This record gives sequence, structure tokens and C-alpha cells, in this order.
Amino acid sequence: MENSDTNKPKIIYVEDQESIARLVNFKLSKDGFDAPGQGWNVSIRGVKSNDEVKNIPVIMLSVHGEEQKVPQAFNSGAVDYIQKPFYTAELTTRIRKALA
Amino acid sequence: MPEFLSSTGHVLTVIFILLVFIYLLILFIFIIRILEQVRERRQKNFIKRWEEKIFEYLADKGNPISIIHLFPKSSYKYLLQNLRGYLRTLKGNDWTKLSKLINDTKIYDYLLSQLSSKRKKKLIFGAYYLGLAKSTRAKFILRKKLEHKNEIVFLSCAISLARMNESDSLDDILNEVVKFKKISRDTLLSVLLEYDESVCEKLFIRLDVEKSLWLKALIISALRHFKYTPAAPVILPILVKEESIELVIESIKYFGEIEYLDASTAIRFFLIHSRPDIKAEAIKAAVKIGAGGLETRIWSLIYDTDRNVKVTAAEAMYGFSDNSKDKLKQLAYSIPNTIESSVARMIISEKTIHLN
Repeated sequence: MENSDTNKPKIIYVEDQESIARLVNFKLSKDGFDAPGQGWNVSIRGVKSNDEVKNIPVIMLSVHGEEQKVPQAFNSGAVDYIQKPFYTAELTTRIRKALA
Repeated sequence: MPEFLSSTGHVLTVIFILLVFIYLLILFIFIIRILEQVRERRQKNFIKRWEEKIFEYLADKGNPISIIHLFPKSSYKYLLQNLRGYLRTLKGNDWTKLSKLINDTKIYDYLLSQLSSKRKKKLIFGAYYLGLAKSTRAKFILRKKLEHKNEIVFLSCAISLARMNESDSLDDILNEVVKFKKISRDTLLSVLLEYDESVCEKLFIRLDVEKSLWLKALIISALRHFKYTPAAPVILPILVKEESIELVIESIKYFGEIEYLDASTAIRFFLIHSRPDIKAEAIKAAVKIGAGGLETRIWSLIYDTDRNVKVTAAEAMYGFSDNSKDKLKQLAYSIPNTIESSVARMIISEKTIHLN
């Protein structure tokens, strides 16, 4: 999602732990993204069914790495799936790929 | 004094005591709430002041000792609580840097002092964070603490050692766990799964000499989770020997998970076992292994007396082949309505919803 003010891609990181969200946003900001704060808790299906935001690529980050969960995420509309714990460098690379 | 006045006096006394009790209870709750709010405010203030320093440190500014030097010892608890989330979320270079904040600084000594405490709460706290930061220097103390008589202390130390992947401590854990009657197999399994798959070799050696059937079943369960195939030729005779129900079920699950074709004859035998739970596991394993020629046998299990066996067999038939799926559909809509046809309908609708 391009932010016209800064020309930096804008990232909304949704996380249930505030401190983790702040840390990831800090890392993303350092890597050239505009990561303003913690997003709301929304489902991927909710995003994908809303015409205004359905084109925003969604990357799923989860502690779950089971065989069933990953296809479920992709079926819901996620463009990528990263299992926690993750490398922040990997996250930024995958975000760039999703935005390309 | 008249009798009714005396009884009224008693009632008034009881009401007075109750009112005092209610008042004290409200006061107690109020104090607890205030203390909690103070604690939360202190934590928020702490985070506000120090979070940025940690972030800057992660961005290659400063060294762990100078960062931790900025924190008063009284704030270590809050710091560790924050680090916990980071350590569980990140890996690689970020994780290493975060763990150095614990391992290369005064915090390590602080955690060791907690681990040496006589108070269980402190001991558990110390063990937990040393494990989270994989502080291998503390492994001998943690191993010694496995002898503690409290099960939570034991489990905390065992999890920490497993997180450090200290496979040398595996025998200590398995030897000590038998003294705790309340620790379930699932709990201990979750400890073993904190190791990485390199622990399988040690588990395999232990399986060969283990006398306890409970521990044997646990080891097989762990090997299944790691999908460790070299143990299959040793587990097959264990399955055939049928020493305990737990062992049979865990062995069947193991062969299903690793899809071990050589076990298919044995699995076939367990499809006609007297116990429904064993039959149900044998069906699941047979499907995973893909043992040929079992379609008819599994179909007949839809008509078993046990509902769980019926459901498992119907589920197996749905995934076996197109032919078996059609057969299940025919059963689902057959007349008259039977338990078997309702089970078939349930499986078909479940699978259809799942696919959508």
C-alpha cells in the first residue's frame, strides 16, 4: 500500500501484543516502510470481502505451522504465510515481494 | 429478659458481623485493585522509558552490558517480561542480540540467584528465563534442580533444558519424572517436543532399554511427532507384543505418521481388535500407510457397534478412492434411515464444508 505523503509503502501490522507490534513497526520503519502503529484485529476474509481494501496484500504471521493452517490462510486470501518466530529480514523481503 | 428479645439480639449480632465482613471484603478488593493499577502504571512507565533503548540496541547501537547498566535491578522483572515476547517472536540475529541482554549481563546472575532461591516462585521464574534465553552455562544447576520435589519446579527446569537442546539431560528428566504421579504423558510430551529432532537418537537408545511401559509409550509418541523413521524396526515388535493399550495405540499412530508399509500386516490385525479405540487408530493408520486391499474391511467397520469406529471408518472411506466416496454417498441417502447412513451424511457434510 503506497503512502502518497512519504512515498514509503505503508504497512499495517496487526498483533494482539502491543509490545511486539511496536518492535516490529520499529524494525519495519528502519527498513524503509511507513509503519504507523498497531492495526485492528480483523479477519482476512473481512478484508477480502470489503471492496475498498480488498486489493491490499495480506501476509499472515502465526505461531501455527500445521499442515492445515497454512492452506487455510492462503484460501482466505493471504498472499504469504510466515511462521513465528521469524527473521525480521525475511519479513521485509516478503513484504517487498508482495508489494512488487 | 424475654426469650424473643434474646433471639433478636443474636440476629442483630449476626447481621453486624456479616456487615463487617462485607465491608472488609470490599476494602480488600479495593486495595488489590489499587495495587494492581500501581503495578500496571509502573510497568507502562518503565516500557515508555526503556523500550526505545532496546529497539536502538537491536538496530546495532550499544552493547548489552551498557544497555542493561541503564536498568535498575528493581526493573529486571519488567524487562524480562518484555523480552519474553520478543524472544518468542523473533529469531536469527535479533534473537541472538536479545538473548545477550540476558546471557552476557548482570541479568544472568540475577536469574541464577532466583534459581538458587528456596522459594518455588522465584526458582520457576529463574528457570523459565534461563531456558528462554538458552543460557547453557546454567545447565548443570538446572539438571540438579530436576531432583526438586515440586512438580512445577521440575517441569520448569526440564522445559528449560529442552529449550537449550541439552539432550544429555534427557535421561535425568525421564528418571526423575516417575516420582511425580500427577504429571501426565501429554505434559511430559510437550517438554520433549521442546528439544529439536536431534534428541531422537537419545530417545531411540532409551526406548531400547526402557522398562516402564508408560515411558515407552511416551518415547514412541515423541518419535512420532519428530517423524523419526529409524526406530520403526524396533517399534514393530513392541506393537505385536501388545504389552499395554497405550503402547499399542502409540505404536499404531507412529506407523501411520511415518507411513511405514512394513507395518501394514500388523495394522490389518488390529482392525479386528476387540477394543474400539485400537480399531479406530488402526483405521487411521491403514489409510495413511495406504495398505492395499483394506477397503472392504474398513467398509465393514462402518457397521461396527462403536460410534467412534463407525465415524472413523466412514471418514476413511470418504478419502480412500472415488469409488469408496460414491459408495459412502449411496449409503448416506439410502432408505431406510439408519445410524450408518446418518454417520455417512455427517462425514459428507463435514468434508464439503471443510472444502468450501
